[in-house]
Amino acid sequence: MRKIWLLWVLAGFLVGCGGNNQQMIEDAPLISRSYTDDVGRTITLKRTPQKVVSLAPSTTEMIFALGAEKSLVARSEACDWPPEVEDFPAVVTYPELDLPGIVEFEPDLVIATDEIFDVQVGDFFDRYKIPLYFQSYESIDDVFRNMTALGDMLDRKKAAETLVDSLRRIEERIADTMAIQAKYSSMIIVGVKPIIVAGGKGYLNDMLTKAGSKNAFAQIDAKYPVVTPEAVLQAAPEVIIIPSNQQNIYQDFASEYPILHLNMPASQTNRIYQIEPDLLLRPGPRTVEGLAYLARTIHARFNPDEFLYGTE
Amino acid sequence: MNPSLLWKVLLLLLAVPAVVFWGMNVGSFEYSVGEVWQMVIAPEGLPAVVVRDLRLPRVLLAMGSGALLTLGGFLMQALVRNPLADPYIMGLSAGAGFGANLRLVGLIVIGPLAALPAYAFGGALLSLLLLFGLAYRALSRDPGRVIIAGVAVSSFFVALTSFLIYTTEDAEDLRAIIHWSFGSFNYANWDSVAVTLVLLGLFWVLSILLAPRLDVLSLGDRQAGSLGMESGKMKLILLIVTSLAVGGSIAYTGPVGFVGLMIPHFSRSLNGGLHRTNLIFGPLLGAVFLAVCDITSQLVYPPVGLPVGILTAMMGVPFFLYLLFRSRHRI
Repeated sequence: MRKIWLLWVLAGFLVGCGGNNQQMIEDAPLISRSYTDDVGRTITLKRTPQKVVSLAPSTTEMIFALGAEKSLVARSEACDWPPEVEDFPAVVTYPELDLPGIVEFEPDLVIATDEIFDVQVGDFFDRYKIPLYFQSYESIDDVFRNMTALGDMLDRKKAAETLVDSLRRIEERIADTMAIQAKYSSMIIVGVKPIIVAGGKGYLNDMLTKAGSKNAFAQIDAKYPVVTPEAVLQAAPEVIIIPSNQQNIYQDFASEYPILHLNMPASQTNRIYQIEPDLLLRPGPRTVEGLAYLARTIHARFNPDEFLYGTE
Repeated sequence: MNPSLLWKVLLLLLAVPAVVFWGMNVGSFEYSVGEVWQMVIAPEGLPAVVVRDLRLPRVLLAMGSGALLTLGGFLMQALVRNPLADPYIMGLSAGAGFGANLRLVGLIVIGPLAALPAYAFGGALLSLLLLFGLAYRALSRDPGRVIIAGVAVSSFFVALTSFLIYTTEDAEDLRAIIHWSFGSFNYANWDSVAVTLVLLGLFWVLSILLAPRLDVLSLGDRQAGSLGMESGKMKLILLIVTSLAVGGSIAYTGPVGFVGLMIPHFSRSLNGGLHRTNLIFGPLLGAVFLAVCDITSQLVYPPVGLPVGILTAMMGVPFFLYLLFRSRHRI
């Protein structure tokens, strides 16, 4: 009888300890932190978020790269990297954001990007008192800054610093090497009809510059401007980059705009390249890898592996 | 042709090459007027390609579309006996747009992409059939009801197109539909010009030949019948001709609204109500008007140009409201 009583006391103690640990996780650290996101919204986190919903593939990749995936409760349908992301429930983001579906996860942090979503969506989350943090990218530095901010929010500050430091070193190595190369005028085609290109405002412009090139549409103050065929002829791109996995996409472009195909320097010298779209169009931990491949594409003699895995 | 009309037509015939040449001077490259002229008389190198293969088709497509939309407006107004009728308001453009978008997103793929006008024609014809199915009786008794039925048909086809947009997962298709729906001449080429101008030639001649019958039809079914016209047969012919004209005009450009409303009114205010006179003068005016609108759109929002459909709607909506409130009788 005495042994049974002792067992109960021991069990109670253990359960009590478990409960305290859970409570500690939920409450810690009990210091409010405020963050102002890239669109000027300020959110306050009372504790380290434990239920994060990521609405963009780039953000999901960052969360995994920081080793913070345990705090992820849901991701967008478009998130497909790393492969483990398939194990997480998906929220509908297209054609419309399933807002009630997101609320069902009772998130304590939702992360979105203004590249995909209208900032007005914030009003909805404000009504439910769910912190919504918007990321925005106009340069590779913005990618690093957002990774650092995310690390800080998710209590992965050290991991973020280490990751950003190593990525920044590779980025600088590429940029330094490419700075002295010939600056080919390059065009990144984001859409075929209408013709949508990388303009002077987005982070793709920064990618092209650091990859040792000159954006043929750098003078247009927009992220993804629509341009006319005549504007393309005027820009006279020497290199064309198409971030797409679709086969024969340039053939589609050429049949749609035969005048351009016949008269662009890039098509005359056959310098038209397709590149893995996720490396170029997702501002996340793979951006620097994308930069290395972009540099390799524009300046054929460079091996991207030397940048990514070589020693300084 | 009376002397007054002759002068007006001559004036427009002079305006056509002037506006074409103006259009050839507007674009991203900055060429002097002398350089452009040099490219016309002795084309050579890239500037000649720009002027001959990009700018010239653009201005010609704008002119062809302007003329076709004006023809569509005249025919439609005669058909429903209401001056507020316009291919855009009555749902023809929305129907043609839906037809063209079915092909653009690859939901129905019969024939090459060059067959786009056939899809637009099919959509336009479908919308007109629906309109007349809904409001056939009102055609002779209450033309105002036909306008309201037209607005409903337009909303229906806009909803169908919105459904296509909503359910299209391919980003490239989505961009194509949205951009097309703005109405623009950005992507004109010689193929689209050829189809548009052939359609224009055909329907212009046909419309002028039908002009006396349109005058009779405008009197109403009873009067037309007493003058020996089979108005039902005539309406069927007009139905097909109008669908072809509007479908053909917007297949390559997207819907450009209110040209078919504004130009017939200006034409009638200058020339009176006879269809033959108006069908000679009006399409010329429509051609010049839309080309000037497109050039203006390029000048106010360089280098891409404001989609011309936005510009014509900005002018057309107040014009429509002016007509609506000016007329003291019911629509």
